[in-house]
Amino acid sequence: MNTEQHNQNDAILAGRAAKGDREAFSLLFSRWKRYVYSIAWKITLNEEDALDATQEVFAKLVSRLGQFKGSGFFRSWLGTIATRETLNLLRKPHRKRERPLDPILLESKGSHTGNPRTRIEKKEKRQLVEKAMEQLSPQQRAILTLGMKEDQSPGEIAIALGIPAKQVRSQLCRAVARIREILGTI
Amino acid sequence: MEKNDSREEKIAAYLAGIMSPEEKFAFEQSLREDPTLQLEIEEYRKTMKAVRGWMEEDPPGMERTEQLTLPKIHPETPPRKSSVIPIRLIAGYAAVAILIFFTGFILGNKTRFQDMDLHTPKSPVQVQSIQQNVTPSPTPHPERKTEPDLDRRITRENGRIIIETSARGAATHSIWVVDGEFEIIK
Repeated sequence: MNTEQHNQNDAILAGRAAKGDREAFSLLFSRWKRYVYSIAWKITLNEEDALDATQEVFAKLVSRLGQFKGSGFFRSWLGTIATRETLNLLRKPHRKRERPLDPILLESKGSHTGNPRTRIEKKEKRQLVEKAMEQLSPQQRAILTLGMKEDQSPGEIAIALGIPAKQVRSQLCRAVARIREILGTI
Repeated sequence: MEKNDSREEKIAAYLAGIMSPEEKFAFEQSLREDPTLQLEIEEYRKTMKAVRGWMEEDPPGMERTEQLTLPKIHPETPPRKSSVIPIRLIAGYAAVAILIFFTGFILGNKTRFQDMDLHTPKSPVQVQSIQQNVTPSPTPHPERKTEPDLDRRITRENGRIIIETSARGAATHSIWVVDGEFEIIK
């Protein structure tokens, strides 16, 4: 099944779920929860916060499914909601603090095939990037996630986050320059 | 990009593909002439590749999304008719009532005081016409005839019409007070 067919299916499921079809909503939930969690984690860099954000996104989605027009891609639409809700969660007081990344979890994820040396290098590189990402603000991480993971343009990111496009461009450039600076010194 | 953007931010914007065609052309021109910039670009490309790779990877704790609960979804119900009168309806009725009241007030006054501007001095002929048609109070001097060389001043005070006349160059001064209900007879 290609992306277009997947999107049509999602649009149909969203339409049914908006009318109260629990089974349709359950299918959407199963299909997209990992994707939403992935976006939330890239912004929070924290499992607990990412799980809370994912739960929150689907709770909000129940009432927002009727707003999905079906003309765009469900993935982009959901990605935008996930980013916005994750940022909202991080703005709330008394939220869980960011904590250092768990080295055991980092080691356990990803493929274990291939050359052990390459695997170690890859792991080290990933840890370096994560350390660099920790130095950015949640908004900069959200902009990078939408721009580099979701391939959204500065204009689309601006609409998604409700900030001026000029600010998106400058934040994106500063974030990349900062990462380069950190990776160059670590 | 702004003219005062740092070299790093320009590189980041170039690699993120968010430069305008003019900016891109100028940047590529300087890239051809500057070997240091070419090296920097290569370093940045590696950084961007590492960030993109990190973005594509599954984050730790992905398996914990299985613990998330499906939010409750309720069948779509038709919106209930509200028993409360909408505030807009009340405001509309009030506006219509005010409009009717003021229209009646203005039309009534126009009929009553037609041709009678109480603050603007009238020509002797107009004043004479008014004096002949109002019912005077018992105090005035009915024997006094209106002379064309009289100074007249008509004012309104506390619902009464006060007509003051005085002969030019003389010390005599008469005041006519029209009290109570009166109307102009044409």
